[in-house]
Amino acid sequence: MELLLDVNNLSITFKSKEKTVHAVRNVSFHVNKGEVLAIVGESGCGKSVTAKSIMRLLPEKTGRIMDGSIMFDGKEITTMNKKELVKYRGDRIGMVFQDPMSSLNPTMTVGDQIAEGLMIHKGYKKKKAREKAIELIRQVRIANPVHCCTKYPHQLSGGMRQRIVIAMALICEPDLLIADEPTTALDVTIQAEILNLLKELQEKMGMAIIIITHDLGVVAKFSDRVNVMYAGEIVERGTLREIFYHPQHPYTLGLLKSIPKLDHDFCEKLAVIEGSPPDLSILPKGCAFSERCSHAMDVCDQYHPEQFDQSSTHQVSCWLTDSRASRAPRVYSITH
Amino acid sequence: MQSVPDHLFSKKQSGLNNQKLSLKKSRSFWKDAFYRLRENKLAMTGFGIIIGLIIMSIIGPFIVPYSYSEQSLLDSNLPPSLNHWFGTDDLGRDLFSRTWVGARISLFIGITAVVIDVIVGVLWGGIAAYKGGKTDEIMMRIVDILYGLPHLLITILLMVVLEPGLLTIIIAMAATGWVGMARLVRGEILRLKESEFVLATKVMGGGLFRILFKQLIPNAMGPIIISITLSVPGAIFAEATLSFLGLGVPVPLASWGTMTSEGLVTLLTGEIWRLFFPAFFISLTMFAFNVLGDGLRDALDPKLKR
Amino acid sequence: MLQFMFRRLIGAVITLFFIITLTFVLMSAIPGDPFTSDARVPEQVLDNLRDHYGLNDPIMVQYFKYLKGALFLDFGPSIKWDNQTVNELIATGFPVSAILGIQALAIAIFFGILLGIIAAFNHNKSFDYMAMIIAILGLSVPSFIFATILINFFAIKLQWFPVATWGTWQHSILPSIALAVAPMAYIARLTRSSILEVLSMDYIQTALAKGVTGYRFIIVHVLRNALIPVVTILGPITATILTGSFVIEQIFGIPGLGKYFVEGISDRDYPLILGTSFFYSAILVFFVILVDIAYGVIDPRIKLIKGRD
Repeated sequence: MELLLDVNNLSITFKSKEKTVHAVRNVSFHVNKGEVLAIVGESGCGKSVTAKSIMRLLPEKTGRIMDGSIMFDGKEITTMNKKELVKYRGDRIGMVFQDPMSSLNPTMTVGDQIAEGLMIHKGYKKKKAREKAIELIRQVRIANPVHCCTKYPHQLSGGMRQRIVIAMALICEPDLLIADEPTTALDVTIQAEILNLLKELQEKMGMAIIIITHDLGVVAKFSDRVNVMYAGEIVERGTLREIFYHPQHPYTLGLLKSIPKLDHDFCEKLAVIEGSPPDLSILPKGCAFSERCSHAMDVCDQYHPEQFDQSSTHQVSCWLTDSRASRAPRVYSITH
Repeated sequence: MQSVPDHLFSKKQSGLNNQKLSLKKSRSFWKDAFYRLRENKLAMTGFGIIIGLIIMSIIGPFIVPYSYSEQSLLDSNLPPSLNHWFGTDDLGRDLFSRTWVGARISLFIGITAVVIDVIVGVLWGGIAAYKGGKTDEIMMRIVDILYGLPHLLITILLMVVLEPGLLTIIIAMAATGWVGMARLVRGEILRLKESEFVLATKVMGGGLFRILFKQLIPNAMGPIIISITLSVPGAIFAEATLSFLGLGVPVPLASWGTMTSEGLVTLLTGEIWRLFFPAFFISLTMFAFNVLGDGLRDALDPKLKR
Repeated sequence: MLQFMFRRLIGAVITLFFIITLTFVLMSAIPGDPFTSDARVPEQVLDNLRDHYGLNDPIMVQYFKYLKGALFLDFGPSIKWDNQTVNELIATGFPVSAILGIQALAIAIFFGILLGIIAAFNHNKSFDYMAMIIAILGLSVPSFIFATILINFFAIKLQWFPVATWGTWQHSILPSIALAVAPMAYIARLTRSSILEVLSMDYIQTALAKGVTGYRFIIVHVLRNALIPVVTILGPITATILTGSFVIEQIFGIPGLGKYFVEGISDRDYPLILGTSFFYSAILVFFVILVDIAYGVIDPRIKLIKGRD
């Protein structure tokens, strides 16, 4: 496996007049070439911020990378100047945003928007770029791509627009695609189509994908490895198998339990995680999840959990996995 | 590796302490808006200037022992001094006194014209939006026609027809001014009529008046207030322009517009103070209302605040 | 497109008909007539004069005469300007006003947008505050006051420009600037807030994520979207410039349409008032239609063209 992206000890804060929010704290993860990494967590846990920081798309005045490094293909992104950065954006790293309704420029035809990447990065002339754009529109399975090319975003449906956004991100055949909640804003039936499309294109082009989502169904569909984020930290990471069948962190378990299942008795209530995430402007002394954790111990309030290795690929940050915590009830696998 | 004492590895007795996650006290919309407005220094400066101008327009003329219309040809064209703080004009009238009488007239015209605009506009726009259908279409067609006309031109034509005087100016300005307000109110009410909270009230059996006065009007209040604040300088400006063209208040009354107009000759003769004071105060008043209006817009529509 | 144009044209005709009728009603409501003041002229002469200008005709006859005049763009002879028709006066006044108005509009649009752009891209920095203070001052200082300031400094003190009247190109500079200040301030503020709004949009993030930068980013992605609201206010801006010219032409003694209108008012020169009012309204209505078409062209979300999609 060849390393593509390596993020180490990344910390990001947002400053406003009243407070400083520590949105991402000491986050480390890596992506190998051609693999799919999922970052999972509820809204506000810092997953989108992490994704944007890879593209250095954080709002310049308020959001700042305080610490850590982001190495892409051996080059440090955090210290790049604008000129170098632009070479990565759209060319080697593509990005798909959450809301296809608002992520397309309303006054530009979709064909031009897709072709734009080629004209910037590959120096294509307009005509040639458009031909390639049409080709790609066909590949994202839109009927009549030549006609579609001349349309404006408001003339297309949500699913079509997301296909366009995907085509736009893929036009330069990037090594890494960051998909930030790519299906959240879509109808359920279209969600599956878009995911299948992404999967298919990933296999065809051989790129790596970071998929950011709160939906474990999306994760199960096609990721190789999973990182679970809570309150700005990665609390558990492992292969898809490890996370789904041997979750160690109570938060991961809570997430898994809250997925509705078809064989569920309809009268049975879905499991929920009580409470809400902590205010990230005040850093918790111990574990950020301890207030909502039904297995919390005294240590959890006072000491930040260490990272425990379960296997070479599976790490958990939770005191329950400490050998001394045997008296506490162990969280263990759920059947799936 | 941190060293963690062993005894801490026992289940927390307190159990879940979700109670700590208290909900933030939410302030009401208007309180919040007021708070935001108070933080805006420029807007508060504008507000202070307006208050100051209103106070001076009431007491200003009584501070000095000269009346605004008293002529004294011996004292004509005196520069500002301890006796005449703002100097005198070509007829020897005290400019300090005249300036504040002018303030009265400008503010009175500005505010009254806008009040009439609001009353007519809210009624017209409200009825059109509420009735809908043919009524709406006809009423708004009239508004569209009036909106497409050059307002100052109509106002000037009206001024020629009617007897010169304060009331005439107000009528002439209100005749065209309500149109914008009617459009605004109609738009707001149509938007709100479709909104979910109004629908919810309807579903729960809220009556027509309850919906109109408890929900539609208060929710349309923000844009209306902003529009009022920004219309006042427009009306003051229109009055000044009319007066400047010689269509304003009749002599011996003074408005800032007539004073500026009279002072224009001093560009060549040199008694520049006759031009300076009225011009300065018109601009100051417009400035104050503009910045207050901007502040209100930022405060009442936080989405726009950047 | 044709259907849209047709509907707008009908609307324009209705508006113009309305203004014709309104001006006419107002004019006939004025007590007295242009000849009332000349007390020493024998009654017989006055009556002949009234006959000559059709003032003795029944109201409805006068009205239809005037409607016909508007239709064929012939408003008859002026009362105060001997031996000149209203058409001739408009023909001499309009080019002057047009130069003034177009120059003012060009200054307002160019510098307004420029100021707005610079302010927006320096958001919350000192230049932004400076530009916006200038803009608020521009809105607050009435044009006639600004005109006097300009005359005082640039014409009287520095003597760079002539004080007043019309003739060379230099004559037109100060009045154009005075006329342009308020619209410029307005455009600058709108441009700034519009750009800031666009910059917060998701599609700007998309563009940045594609690696779009520099000229392409600013022109194609930001300005193309941000200037749409600016185009929509060009109608009201034109109205401001048209009516603003009444005062500015008065101050600078420029023999334009505005001066004829204002003098027509004080002279009670009915044909002149009716003619100029009609002309002003027609220009404004025409311009508003033009702006609407432009709006439809630059914003693909607006559908002027029916039946294609």
